[in-house]
Amino acid sequence: MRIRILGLFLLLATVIPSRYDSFAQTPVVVTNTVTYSLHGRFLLVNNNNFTVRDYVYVPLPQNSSFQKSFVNYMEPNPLRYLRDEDGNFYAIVVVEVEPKSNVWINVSYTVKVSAYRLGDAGALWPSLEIVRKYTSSSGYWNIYNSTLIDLSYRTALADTPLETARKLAEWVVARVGYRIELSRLGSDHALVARRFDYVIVGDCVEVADVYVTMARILGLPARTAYGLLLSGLKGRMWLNLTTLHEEGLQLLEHWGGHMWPQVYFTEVGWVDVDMLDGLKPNVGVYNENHILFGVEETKYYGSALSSACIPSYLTLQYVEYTYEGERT
Amino acid sequence: MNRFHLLAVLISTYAVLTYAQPSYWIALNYKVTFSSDGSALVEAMLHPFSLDGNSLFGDARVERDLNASVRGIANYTLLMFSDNLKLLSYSLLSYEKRLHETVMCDVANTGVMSSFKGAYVLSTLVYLNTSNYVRKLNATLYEVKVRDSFTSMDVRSWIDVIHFCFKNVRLREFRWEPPFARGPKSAEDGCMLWENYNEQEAPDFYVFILEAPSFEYVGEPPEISAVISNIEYGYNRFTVTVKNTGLTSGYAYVRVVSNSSEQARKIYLSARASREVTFPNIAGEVFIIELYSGSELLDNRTFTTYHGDVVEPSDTVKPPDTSDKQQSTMPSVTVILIVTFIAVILIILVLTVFFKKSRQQSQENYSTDVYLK
Repeated sequence: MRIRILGLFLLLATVIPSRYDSFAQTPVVVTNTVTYSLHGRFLLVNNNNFTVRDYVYVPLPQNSSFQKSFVNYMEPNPLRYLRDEDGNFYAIVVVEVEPKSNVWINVSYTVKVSAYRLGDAGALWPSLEIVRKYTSSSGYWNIYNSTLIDLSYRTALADTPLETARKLAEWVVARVGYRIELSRLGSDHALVARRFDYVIVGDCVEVADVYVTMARILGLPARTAYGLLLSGLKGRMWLNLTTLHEEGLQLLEHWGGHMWPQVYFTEVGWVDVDMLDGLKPNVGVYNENHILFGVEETKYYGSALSSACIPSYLTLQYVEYTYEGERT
Repeated sequence: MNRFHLLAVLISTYAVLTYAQPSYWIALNYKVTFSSDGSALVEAMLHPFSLDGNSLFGDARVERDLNASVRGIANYTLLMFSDNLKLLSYSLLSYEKRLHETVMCDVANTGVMSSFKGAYVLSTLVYLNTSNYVRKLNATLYEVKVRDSFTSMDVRSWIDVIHFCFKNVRLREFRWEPPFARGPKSAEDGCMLWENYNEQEAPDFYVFILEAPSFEYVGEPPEISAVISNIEYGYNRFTVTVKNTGLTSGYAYVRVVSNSSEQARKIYLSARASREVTFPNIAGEVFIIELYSGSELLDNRTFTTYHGDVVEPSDTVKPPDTSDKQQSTMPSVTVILIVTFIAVILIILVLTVFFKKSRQQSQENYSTDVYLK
């Protein structure tokens, strides 16, 4: 059952092409690059009895070593672009809506994504400053949970960061009990004791939270990344927030919002560990179907931008993305 | 008007992309009083109201919600002074309903501040001597940052009104971030008042340079007391054993530094327990191995290596594992053995030849003798 569900969620988990056979002494090998045209539209409704002039927060695809993003246009024009405390860029759009009326926000991005595979990296532990900054406790990553401490040390204590990340990923991926959670449980509540073993209940968010917490317990800098997991080179995904709670697992058939962990290796920086991509440990195995919209690093309650569009007084009712990619 | 709503605490993520719609809003006013001993008395004043702007102060359901959320509100208050709750010392003083308190906010983002009578007030005393938002500039001067933790949690939220006062503390400078946010409405009589009409105009950080001679900043307190109990070196790797000497559990950091590299590991130690951690692939000849908990250095050792196989520990360091030494001296022992073996063979050969010759000579002599006979 779990496999079938994940199959829906990860409709087109990419088969990594086999053209990176020899990459010894190379920290990272780029295996594929795709440039996407990504168009989004968000429907906002004014349910109030007064005209609303609202600030709407629109998270943007980010720039990283494996992603380059460009805003082609945004309608209405953004008031300004800002960065949050974790360095994520977002746009502020101002809209004015009459009572019981609605407004669309349209966005268009070009995003160049590189798939990669980790080579010769993960042998060195990071500096004290990095360890301090990226292994602290937070609202969703409680590194003082004695069960998680015990499990982390029993299953994944290793000599190198790479070995630690792999052991941890193998342990986590074998215990995924997938179900959609509309609220965030945090690692404390996502890990559930069963008769003979533990299960991580929840969706990609809970799996990422448990992984990040356990990595941080072991002193391996870790954070979560969030964004979209596309189903191939061309497609459409949508979300109706008025029916969301009734949909259950059907949601996965038309929506690809995703979260996954990243760990820090001194030689290369942040490395993706998307274990739900094919239910494999995938330490440093990253395919071009990911569109990164942000990371959660240091903020106690996680990211404030982990939604497609965040109005204040208005109500977000519908989200849609269409995309078309071209291999480059 | 403040955009903070309790349901937002259950923030959902991109994976499901939903925000529960609030059934009511809460106007948020704060009063922060800094004292000369480095403490800050923080009063969070809350007034709930409907989307139409009608007061919900005294509404039984809302009161129940708020009562159940006191811990969460306290967390928001603490997160104004640090990004790590474990770092702060604090006392929750009281949670009360004040009928005569006034709370202000711009209800519908119209640019007009409305007043609401009555407030739920949570009073907290926060000690800043362990906050990581405090930076010591010199003997008496400190930079103190106060974050709008509501914005940090949810970009739509902000503190409507915040009032800073300074008791026996001299305010030398102040600023706010981001720079496009609005400055204080008033700054007089040792107090500053910010009235924030919307999130964009509200600062995310309020930054003060304070002169506080009697304030002693101590930094992040240690979680445990521990020592480095053993260090082993071999094949470009260190194995460090750390022993928790106290009765509390917690985290410590082991750091190995040389002139060309640095690596650090965080370890969790139960009371009285020991743990061993390895640092592979280290580079350098002289190393300093440090043990921290919090920002306190608990122990440190110096370790010197030459050519990766001969180790000269400093007086505080245990001698290295002899197995490494045995392996490193193996080639010379073998050579000596081989040379000795060859020498013995040669001696035997020489002696054999010598005895053979002498026997031959004696036989020849005998023969000669016989012959001579």
